[in-house]
Amino acid sequence: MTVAVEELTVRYGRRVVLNGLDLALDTGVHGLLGPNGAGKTTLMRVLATVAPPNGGGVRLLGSAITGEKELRAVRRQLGYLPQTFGFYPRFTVREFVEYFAWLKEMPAARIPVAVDRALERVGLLDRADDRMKTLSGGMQRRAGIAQAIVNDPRLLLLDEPTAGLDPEQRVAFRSLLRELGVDACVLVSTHLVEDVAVACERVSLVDGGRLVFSGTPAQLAAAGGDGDAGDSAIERGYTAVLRAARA
Amino acid sequence: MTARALRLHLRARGVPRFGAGLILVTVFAGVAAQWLATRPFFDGPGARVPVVALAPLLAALLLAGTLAGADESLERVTPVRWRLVRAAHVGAATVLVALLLAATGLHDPAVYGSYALVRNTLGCTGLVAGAAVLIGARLAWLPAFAYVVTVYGASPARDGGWENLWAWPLQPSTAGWSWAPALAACAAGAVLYVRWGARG
Repeated sequence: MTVAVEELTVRYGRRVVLNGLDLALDTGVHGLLGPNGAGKTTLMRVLATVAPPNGGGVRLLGSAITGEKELRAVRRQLGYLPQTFGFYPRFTVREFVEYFAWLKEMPAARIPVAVDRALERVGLLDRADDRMKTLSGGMQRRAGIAQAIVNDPRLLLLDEPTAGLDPEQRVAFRSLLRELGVDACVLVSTHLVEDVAVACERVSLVDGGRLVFSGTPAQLAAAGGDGDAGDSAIERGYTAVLRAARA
Repeated sequence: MTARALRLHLRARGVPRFGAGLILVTVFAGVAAQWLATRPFFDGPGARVPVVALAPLLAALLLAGTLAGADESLERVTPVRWRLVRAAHVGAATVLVALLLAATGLHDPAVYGSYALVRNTLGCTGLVAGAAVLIGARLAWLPAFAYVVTVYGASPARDGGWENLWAWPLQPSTAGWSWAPALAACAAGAVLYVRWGARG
């Protein structure tokens, strides 16, 4: 398993954000759904090694992170795009992605090619020499995706990656996700259930800090009925699972 | 790390801007100290108190902007040994500021000259580094600024008893106890910053 999480607990003060969550993910594209405050971003931060868990076990890329050596080994093979991210306004897009390639300790000889490839995959190669501050919000988001994939990560964590992308860019991004999911474990946190339906092989639904559903998008769609709220089968499945979990 | 990577890192930390600001502060400190010390209506080298108090403060305020990247959480998920990077960063910056400012007071180092400038540099950079951990790099300048300006405004006795401790930025370097709080602030701030980094 690329990601194996058992009984994961995270607290912020007295508030329990993740409450004994279990999750197992392997190669492929996985959707992470849940309402606001369900714990999706916290889970992403734990898997990205930003936030330490308060309890439970986390194994990433086959190893438990028990020390600095394991942590650095995992981080070399990790790609992470937070929900919002800061960037260096005076950097060009190429410099921004290149800087993260350096930080990810990629071999120097590979970096120029890897940067161009990442920019091409997100459709920003023609804007590579523009400054980050001159880009639109959607383009900055795509530059963020480029820094996440520049090292060809084995574990890619994308928190709301399609926020700010126009419909055409979202279609292109779904295609990129499918491409990335061939070799890597890709976890995409999103509110857009149609993205999950189209691009993800499996979907996990989190509510109240617990995993309440894990299966294929078709299984999630099948969980809903005509009486459930939603404009599509998968939306009806989503609301039905949440209703059942809260009952 | 190659020269290209180092250059990107320094730009990501705003080091060129810090360097340019530091040169201005150093030139200003040198000119102002000389001017104050040579005015017939002031009391010689003792008139350099404002420079000794404010130049290290200004340099430390400039340093605050370099203590974090644009997105700390994004940078920290990379395998870089960040504690080593932070130790090198805060150590090199402190030494650089101390050396440059000390050079402006060399012609009379003992009376509000180089020694006091070094002491205040250590204290102010420590305050800024510690504040970056507690409240983030963007506001890290605030506690040091508030403290030094408050002490300056209070006009405490020079080379006095307790004033040596709480008003250390205004004491002559010969006031032995004035070094203790500055060194403590420097050590505590550096340790906090190296261990945890700026708050994201």
